[in-house]
Amino acid sequence: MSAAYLWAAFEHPFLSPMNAGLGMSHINFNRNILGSIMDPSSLAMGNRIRFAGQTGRRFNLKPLSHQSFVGGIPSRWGSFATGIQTFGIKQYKESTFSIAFGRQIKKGFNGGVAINAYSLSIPNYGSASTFGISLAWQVNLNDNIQWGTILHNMNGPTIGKSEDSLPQLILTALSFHPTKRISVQIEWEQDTVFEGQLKSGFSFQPKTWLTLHSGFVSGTGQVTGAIGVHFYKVNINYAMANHPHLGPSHWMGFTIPLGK
Amino acid sequence: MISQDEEDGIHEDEIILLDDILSRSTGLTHQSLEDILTLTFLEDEDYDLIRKSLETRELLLLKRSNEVSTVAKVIFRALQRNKGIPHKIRIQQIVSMTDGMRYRWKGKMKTLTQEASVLSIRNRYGLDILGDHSIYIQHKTGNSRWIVGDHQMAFGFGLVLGKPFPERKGWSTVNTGTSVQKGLKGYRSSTGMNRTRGIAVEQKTNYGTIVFSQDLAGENKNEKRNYYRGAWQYNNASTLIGTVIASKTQSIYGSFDYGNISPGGEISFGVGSPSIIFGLNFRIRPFKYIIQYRDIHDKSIGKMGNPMVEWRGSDLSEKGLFQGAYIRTGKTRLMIYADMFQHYTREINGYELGIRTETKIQKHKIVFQVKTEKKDETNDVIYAPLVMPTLRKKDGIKLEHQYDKKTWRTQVKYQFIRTGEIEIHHSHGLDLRFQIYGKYYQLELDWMGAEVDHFDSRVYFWDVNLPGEMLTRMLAHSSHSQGIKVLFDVSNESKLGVKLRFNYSALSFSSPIDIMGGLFIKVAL
Repeated sequence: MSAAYLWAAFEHPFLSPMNAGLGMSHINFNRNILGSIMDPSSLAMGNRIRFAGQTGRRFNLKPLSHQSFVGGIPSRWGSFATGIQTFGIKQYKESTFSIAFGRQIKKGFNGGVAINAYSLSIPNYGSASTFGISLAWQVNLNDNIQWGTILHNMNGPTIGKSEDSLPQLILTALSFHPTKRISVQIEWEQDTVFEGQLKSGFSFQPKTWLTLHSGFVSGTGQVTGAIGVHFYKVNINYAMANHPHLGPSHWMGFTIPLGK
Repeated sequence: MISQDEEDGIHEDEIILLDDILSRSTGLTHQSLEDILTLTFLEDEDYDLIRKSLETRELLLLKRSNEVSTVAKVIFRALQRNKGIPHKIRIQQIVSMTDGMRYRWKGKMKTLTQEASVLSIRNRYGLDILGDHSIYIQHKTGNSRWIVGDHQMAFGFGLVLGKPFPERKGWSTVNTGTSVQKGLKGYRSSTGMNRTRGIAVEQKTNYGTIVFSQDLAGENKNEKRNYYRGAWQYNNASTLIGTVIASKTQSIYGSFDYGNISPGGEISFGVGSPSIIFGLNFRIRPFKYIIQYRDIHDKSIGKMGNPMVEWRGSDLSEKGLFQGAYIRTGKTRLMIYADMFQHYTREINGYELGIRTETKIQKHKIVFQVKTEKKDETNDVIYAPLVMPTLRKKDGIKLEHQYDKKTWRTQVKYQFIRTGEIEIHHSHGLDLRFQIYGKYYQLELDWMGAEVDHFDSRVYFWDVNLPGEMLTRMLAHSSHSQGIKVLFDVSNESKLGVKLRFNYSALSFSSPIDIMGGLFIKVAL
């Protein structure tokens, strides 16, 4: 047995395909269950049991494959969700197991907290784990404007013998919906180590069974898009993000309601 | 609206305090007036009117008075507007983009007997989201109160226990110079200074108020120990006396009100010579005068002491004499202050003198200000081995015109700064500002420019500030800058604000630009 340094990343948090299409935004104004791990405050208005999963590849590279599954259940105290995500391949694998809780604190104000257990393993090197705590809130400023904020890994987790810091993210967004079928959101994402980036997204629902998203990420210059189809109570989603130098990334996902 | 000298800027903590006052739902009460009195940026008449109102308990006259300043009217109206509205939760977020990103979050929940508050700041380039945070819970029952978490104790004139931000030395000292600090409070400062993290208890009795605080502190986990502090204070209509006890220093203080004359002071004991602050405030409308003597020695100042001084730091050791006067004649107010000081250890002498006139003619306001300061030459170690000579002489003239209509306002400011005695540098600065007040929005446009000869003669102007900010912009070389700010009232008590500033590196429009900005969101639920 030998000890060695593990270099941590965990820079690929839970992201639903529909949110990926909205400029890779994490503030989950559209309340899909896959996005509720990063934004637990979006669990607050849930009133049914849901199960969702997604798979994808960043920049179409197999070593950057990811899969995640999330289940959510409402209760009289609020809503709970639990999720599991893997990123990478056998030679380098990041796994995250999460529990999230969200509830309505006052009318127009939802809050949530998530605990993420991170595990990193590299064959012949070893493995390490740590945990992170995230806090989120969403507020209805008025009938048309919402504000959301996520403080991700606010406990400053580190991993491994070398105590590598995991990313700490500050995300804040405003969503404007002039009508029920159209919304625009702008999100600012700040990693405490790097410069921030501005993300914008546009959502249009031309039919009750069809949702279209598009977005842009300023830092990387990525253009994103997503399509969601509601088909016999099941939602099927697909998203793509096009990086100007690294090529496209893909996401494919589904959501199934399992009853109230 | 706040008429302040840019170099004598208002500390962010005072803005946090103002924000706290504005968010109360108790209306205009005795307690809220006492807290408003601690603000240092009101107009001089405001302090007299508020004190009179507190003495006579006639709050109605104050609400209807036309003599209060615009700033005070805004504060009173906000308190009256919020009266009775059961907003129990308030959340505020400010994001500032100025050479890095700074985030500030504030949350407060209040009921009749309990209060909980969180303040968290992630400073520019800070690696932790919760880099600097304060949290406390307060519970009141009858004559007693306890606080668990972060709190501050500020008594007397701050020799042993002082506020997180120091008393300002300038024209506002005429009104606040002989007022004692406010006692025990939940901690709401953005600096982390003078913070006690532990438990505090306050009990009011017929013989005065007793406060006790326990703090667990230390440089690291293994060195933490308990610190205990206590204070007793008794006051009636004309007399306030008290004493403060900390681990290595103790003090006694008093403030007295004999009609037109109010003396006050504090003496603190530690190791070596005691430290003294003693002042006398004389008021007979329309004239006010203050004289205050200070003799400060670092070994007899508390670890959390923060009195009004010229120099700060570990070698705090000075004596000084401050005088200030205010007189109102017709539509003109004249304010003068002068401070003479001497640093014991560094053997530096210096003085500072300022004269300011404000004239209001219908909707016009004209301000003229002259300020001069001089210190013996000394060398300050900035980053060893870099040593910089401290500025010896500095003179400044400011001229300002403001025109106010109900829905818009214009401001023009000119500054001239001259520094040095042998090698003389001078600068000229100009600031143009236009503000529009709509029913649900406010818009502010600003242009500032300066021709600056040398860093020593740099010029300061107020930046476009979001609510909760009182930032100034320093022009240290010839350059200009434009700013824009928009504030929206999105619903009752909820506001959204955005600002942008374009800084040009030279006086030409074709020079490189640096963009700064900020976002403000405030919610009351």
